[in-house]
Parts: sequence; structure tokens; C-alpha cells
Amino acid sequence: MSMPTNAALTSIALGILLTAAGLAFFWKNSRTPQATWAVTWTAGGILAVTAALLWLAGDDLGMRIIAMAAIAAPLPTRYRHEPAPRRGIPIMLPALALTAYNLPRALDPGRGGALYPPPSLTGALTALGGGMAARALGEALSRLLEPQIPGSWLPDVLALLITICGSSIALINLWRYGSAWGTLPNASGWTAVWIVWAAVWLGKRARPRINAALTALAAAAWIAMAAR
Amino acid sequence: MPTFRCALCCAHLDSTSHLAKPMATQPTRDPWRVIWRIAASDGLITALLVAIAVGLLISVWMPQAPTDLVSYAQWYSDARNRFGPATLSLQTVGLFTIMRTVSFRALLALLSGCLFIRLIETGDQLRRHRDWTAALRLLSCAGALILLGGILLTHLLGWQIAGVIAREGERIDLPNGAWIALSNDASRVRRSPGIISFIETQIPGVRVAAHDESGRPLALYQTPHSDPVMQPTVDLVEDRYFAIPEAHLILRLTPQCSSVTSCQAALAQVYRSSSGKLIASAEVEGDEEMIVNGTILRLTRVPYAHINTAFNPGLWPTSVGLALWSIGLAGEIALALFAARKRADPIRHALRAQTGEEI
Repeated sequence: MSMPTNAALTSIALGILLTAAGLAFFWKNSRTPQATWAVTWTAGGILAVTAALLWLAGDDLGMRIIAMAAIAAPLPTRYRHEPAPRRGIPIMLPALALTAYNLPRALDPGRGGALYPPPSLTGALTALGGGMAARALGEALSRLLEPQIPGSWLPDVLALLITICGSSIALINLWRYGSAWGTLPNASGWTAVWIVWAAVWLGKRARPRINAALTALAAAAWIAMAAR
Repeated sequence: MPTFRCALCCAHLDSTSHLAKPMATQPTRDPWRVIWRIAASDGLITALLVAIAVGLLISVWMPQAPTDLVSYAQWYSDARNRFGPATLSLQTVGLFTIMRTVSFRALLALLSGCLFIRLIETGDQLRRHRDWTAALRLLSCAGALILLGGILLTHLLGWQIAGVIAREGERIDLPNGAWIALSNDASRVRRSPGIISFIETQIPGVRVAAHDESGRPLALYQTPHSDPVMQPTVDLVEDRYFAIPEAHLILRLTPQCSSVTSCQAALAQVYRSSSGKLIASAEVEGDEEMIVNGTILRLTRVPYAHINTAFNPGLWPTSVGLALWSIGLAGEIALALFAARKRADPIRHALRAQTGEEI
């Protein structure tokens, strides 16, 4: 039985991401950060192509999951000069988990097809925001494990973009369904995700670990909603 | 409110060290000041927001009980199937009615109070030092309060009706003179002003007519005790049965769904009433005519739809509040980013001068 293209590409991307994690964990060399960085960008590229193929195939949920993984997979540029390559592993975890989660779905030939409608504006915003949430989750995990790492501007940019995505989804739900929560179960979830993101920013002045834990919670909530 | 004003001034004096230092004696601990500072703190508002968000997230995974009795029975049966004996305990804890529980509403009320105090404090800060951060925080607080006001308005005056079944071109009257009407192809809903409605599911429906060989119409019965009907029109949310006693036939119609949100076709099966033997079967997508033992069955497709409708008087305040809160939050984040970049610039210049490389 031939393997579907999407499943093959998802497997390859998962393999490449595992290679990147292995490189960062085991390979002690001055070139390790650059090599790991390049490998994660390759995985991100393959995942982006897979997401496009899934979109063409009409698998809305699969497209959302893989698009999130594609956005979350590439390591940030600052990682190229990272003296401790293992610090990149928590950042890769969300992309790894999302790709692994979608693999059984991709291998199931019954998924996708013409059963699903093409992605809507909300679907695109969900995938985009979910990808950034997965990145924010990686950054938060990294800060939770090693709070002494100097801060970067990336979490703030992600928070800004996620706030814009979240409020857009809440406004669309409000005007389309008449309520930001209650009418549809998912609308309540999106409002919850948006509220918890607002709380993350308010709690920014709290201790770094609490802030990182809140960010991880908010990001996980977004990903769980997007992968439903 | 003089007490609050006093508490606010004390809080300010306490937080500005250069003013607090010359004071010879330690001021007595004012409980109002403590309450004020706790209520306006980031920590309490963050905790309240997280608690509300957790409540809403639980409501996504736990099926929430409907308010009308007919839907409640169906919901309870589904919940029993899913949670088994734990259903009663979960119900007692209030996990099936999260948004209607006193504790959830108390959280919303407490949040409103905290935001109001925060609004006064931020307004006072802005009056003393005009800066963008305070202005954006004021916008966030005002937005959140307007949003909560909109939700309250909707809760008090609004209504929601889920699962209205309408036939193509049919107009349905709703409370307060409102109405909705399904278009002829059942793809769009027309509505009276101020109403929000959307099609949840498109469902098939059929008009059934039976004739004998001479063209004489035959009566159809939906139940043994129902009145005979010549051309009944029904939605196919579930299986439908028609008895045609004069022809000794039973017609069964089953919806055929192509996706979760679209069921456009139906399966028609004809059984002999005496033996229960299947004698004819056909898929009905458009109009269909079946001839069974000399009886002509004419099935005409009539599209139906499940429509959800809501009257939301707090739509505008909720939207404006959400937009203001978002603008305030996004502005604060952008400002923090700008400030961080500004702080990093001298370091960047120094490093560039030292290494000759772009950092």
C-alpha cells in the first residue's frame, strides 16, 4: 500500500526534527548551533509544504496542526550564537509534538478529502496564532527550565501578534454568531484563550517562572483549541 | 468617595520613596488602603482573568446543559452515556452549568470591581504624569469594563434560540416581532434588523406524494393514529416512516450526510407492510419518482436548515470594549518592545564599535 505524500512528508519532517534535537543534545562542536538551526529551518520548510498540500487536499484540521508546527519548528536566529546548544531543545518540543500528533492522522487514508470546507479567515487566523503560540510555548518552556537565560524580544512580538489574532477571532465570532461565548462551544474556548493571553501580559511583572508558566498555559490552551 | 480618595493618596505617597522618606512616624495600617492596593494589583486581576478563562475552557470540554426542557432530556441522556455514574457528581459541582453558576458570575463581578478601581487609579496616574503606558492601560481597563457591560446587557435583555428548523423560503416569527426566513436554496438566512442568525446545518427534506395507476392520490400516515395527509412535507433530521395502507406499503426515508454540516441527500426504502420485506430502494438527491407494485411515489426535494439565532443588544458595547481592550494591550506590548529596543541601542552601538560587526 503506498503511503500518501502528506504522510511521507510529515514523517520526513518528524525525522529531521528528531535529528535536530539529537544534534543539540549529543553533538559537542562549535558548529552545532548553526547546524541545528539549519536543520530546524529545513524541517519548517518541509512542514510548510505539507501544510499547503493538506490545504489543497481539504484537510482543514491537518492543515492547521502542520501549519502550527511549521511556524514553531525553525529555531530563532539568536540560537546560531548559542553557547549551550541544548537550550534549543525545549523550543523544538511543541513542533515535534504537533508533527508526531498529526502523523497517525496523516497515515489514515480516510482523513481529509472533499469532506471539509476550505479554510476560512478564522481557520487561517487560528493556524497563524496557533503557530505563534507553539513558538511562545517553546520559549516559555525554555525560560521555565533555565530562568537565567537573558530575555529576548521574541516573546513580546509573539504576544503582540497573538493578541491581534485572538481579538480578531473573538470579534469575528461575536459578529458572526452573536456572542463571544455561549452560542458555540468553540466560541467560549476562543474567548478563554484570548482572556488568558490578556492575563499573561498583565502578569508580566510577576516572577519570571510564574510568567513563563502562565505563557505556557495560554499557549497550550490556544494549541488545544486549534487542534480540535 | 472620600475614603477611596484618601486610600489612593496614601498608596501614592507610600510608593514614591522620596516623599515617604521625610515622614517621621510610620503611618498606621489603613485596611482600606490595603484593600485598594490588592484590588488594583496586577496579581489579582491576572488571577481573576485566569480563573474566568479556565471556567470557559472547561465549558468547551464539558457539554453545557441547555435551559429548555426538551433539549435538556437529550443532553442528560448524552451526558449519562459519556460520563456514566460520575454525571451526578459533576452536575452537583456545577461543571455542566459553568456560566450560570454563582461562582462564575461572582468572578465576573469581582473582575468588574477590580477593573473599576484600576481605572480610577490609572486615571489619577495619567492626570499626574502624562505618559503613553498609563493612557494605554486606561484604554485596556475602560475596554474591559465596556466589554463586561455589553455582556451584562446581552444577558439581561438578549436571547438566543438554537436549532430552529426552517424550510426553503419559510419565514419564522421570533420574540419581540423579530423574524428569520430561509432563502429558496436554503443557503442563506434573511432576518429582521438587529438579529444575528446563521445556518448551523443544512438538512434534507422531502415532499411525498403517492398515486395509484389511475393517478388517484393515496393517503399517507406518519403514525397509526395520525390524520391522513395527501402530500406531507418533512425534514429529515431523523428517519421518517409513512404508511400507505391502500397500497400495503411502508416508505422509510433516511438522511444521508456528506459532512458534519451538510446532509443533502436521503435514502428512500419501500417495504411491503404485511411481510416487512424490502422491495425498492433509491437515493434521493433531486426529485425522484419510484414505481413500486403499480404505486407511483413522487419524492420532491425540499431543503431545510438548522438555524441558530440571537438577539444581542450588547453587541456594539461588547465589540467596542473588545477592540479597546485589544488596542490597549497591543499598544502596551508595542511600547514595551520599543522601550526594550531603545535600551538595547547603546549596547548595540558599543559592541559594533568594539567588534566592527553588525550585532
